Amino acid sequence: MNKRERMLLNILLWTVVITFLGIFYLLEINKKADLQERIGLLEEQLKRFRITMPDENELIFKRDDLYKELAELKHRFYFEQDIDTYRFGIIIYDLLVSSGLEINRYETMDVGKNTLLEFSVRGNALGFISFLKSVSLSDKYWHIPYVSINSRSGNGVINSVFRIGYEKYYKMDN
Amino acid sequence: MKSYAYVEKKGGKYTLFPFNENRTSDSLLAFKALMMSRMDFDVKITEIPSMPEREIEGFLKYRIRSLYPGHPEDTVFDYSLFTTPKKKKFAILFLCRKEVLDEYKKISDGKHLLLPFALMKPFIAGYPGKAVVFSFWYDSWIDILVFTENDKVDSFVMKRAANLSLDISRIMKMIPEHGDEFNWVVFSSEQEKELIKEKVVKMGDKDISVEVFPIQDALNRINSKTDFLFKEKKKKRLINQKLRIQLMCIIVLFISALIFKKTVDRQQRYLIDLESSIGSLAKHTTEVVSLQNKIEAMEEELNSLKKRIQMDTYFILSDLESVLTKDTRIQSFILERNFFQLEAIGRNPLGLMERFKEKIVFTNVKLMQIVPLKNSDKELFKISGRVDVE
Repeated sequence: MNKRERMLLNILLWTVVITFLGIFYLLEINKKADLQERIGLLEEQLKRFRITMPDENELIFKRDDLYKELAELKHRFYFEQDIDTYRFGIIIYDLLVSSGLEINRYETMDVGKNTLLEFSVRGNALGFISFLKSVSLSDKYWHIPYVSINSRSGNGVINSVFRIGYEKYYKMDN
Repeated sequence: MKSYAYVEKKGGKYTLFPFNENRTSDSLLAFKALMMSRMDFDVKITEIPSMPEREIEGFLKYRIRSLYPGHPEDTVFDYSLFTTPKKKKFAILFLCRKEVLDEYKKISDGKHLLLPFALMKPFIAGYPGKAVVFSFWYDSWIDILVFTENDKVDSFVMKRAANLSLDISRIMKMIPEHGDEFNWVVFSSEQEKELIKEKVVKMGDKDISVEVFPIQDALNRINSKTDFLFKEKKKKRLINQKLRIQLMCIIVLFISALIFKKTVDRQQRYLIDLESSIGSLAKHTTEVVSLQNKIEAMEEELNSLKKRIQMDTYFILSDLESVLTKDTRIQSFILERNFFQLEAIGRNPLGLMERFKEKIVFTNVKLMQIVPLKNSDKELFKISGRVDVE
């Protein structure tokens, strides 16, 4: 190979090298610019995510607390199969009697969705208070939307008419 | 001026002499190269076929078997390459016994070793395509190198005779027919220079062109490119320096390109990591949102259940008792949903109203009627209001 051929081969070699590197750098620089842009967007997105993301552990604690509170609350409501007006009437009747109260009359009343029991009783004021306390401390929610107490007789005997009902648990979607 | 030495074997013993007779024997201590005795070496010239340079030594080792009768294990050799104007490549082989070379190495104490060929070689290029005889004249021997017009090369050595004319005639006999003319290049001491030239011209029966150079002229041409013999051969690089520099540049460029690519690849991996983080975060967000929805549903249910819990009559009556004074006697009490009405007998119902205000459970409390009782400091009064239980 003479000097001229060597020189031409040299030029060819450098042309190939420079062309290859030129194309390589062009492609890689474009790729790098594209990557940087995407990285910038994703980093911004990630930052936003982290700012707006609530603390999962806190939420789990809150859920567990709520679950416990709800379970305790539900427990104080009757489920459909657990009670009916007549069984409830028997419970109240027994409670009044055990409180030393004389039952003059009782009846059922439909008020809206609920069925209430109306009792007319006579007896010692302390017995009636004891009855009300038992209602208050009952495992289940019993409510007395109406009560009238008359103690005009003045000998510690009261006449009272009250309506009493119980709470049933309905699912939210019901 | 550099100093050189040569060796002569006298009485079976090698003796060192300085090339320049004017020098003292002290200059022998600092000589740069040692000229060995040509008489100790057998010189063979062989043509080299076209082959890569790295294969030449192997080829010569093989070739020596047919050229030299000595036992290979006791023989050492070195060679020098040269190319004729007709592009024929020759190797001039210098062979000797191993113990002879060891002796020279001992004498030279690590200095360069050479034979007359090394001094003649730079002059060969000055006679392209011509028949030329190089003769190197020493005190006791003459080294002769012959190039013919047909690119034949040969080398001889002969002991010097009693006089110059005899030496010249012996050389003339050795020289084959070279046509009409040839060049005779003589290297000799300064003293013999003119005499040799004169005798050669006188004795020559052909058209001989004689050139005589003092040995010192040849010695002055010794430099780093001189073919010193039996030195540790440097490994020839496969690639020359210029190409090596270019290759280095290309390698550097490629390495920087690879580094750049690695940076881009690292960014790409980072992007993949980011995408995966976003993906898992999005999944996590869905879970958290679902958790939030569940919590909201539970809160709603809890609130709805709490709303259904109605006021506790027992607690209302307990609160009412704490408002009323001990001497107050309830006549009647009606509670319907949030509304209550109280009729009682007691003292200072107006003061009672102040106490109602302090109880937040009772709101909108009104004193509806006060009837003073005869023969008593008490009054019958009626109060109505609302009960707010949260």
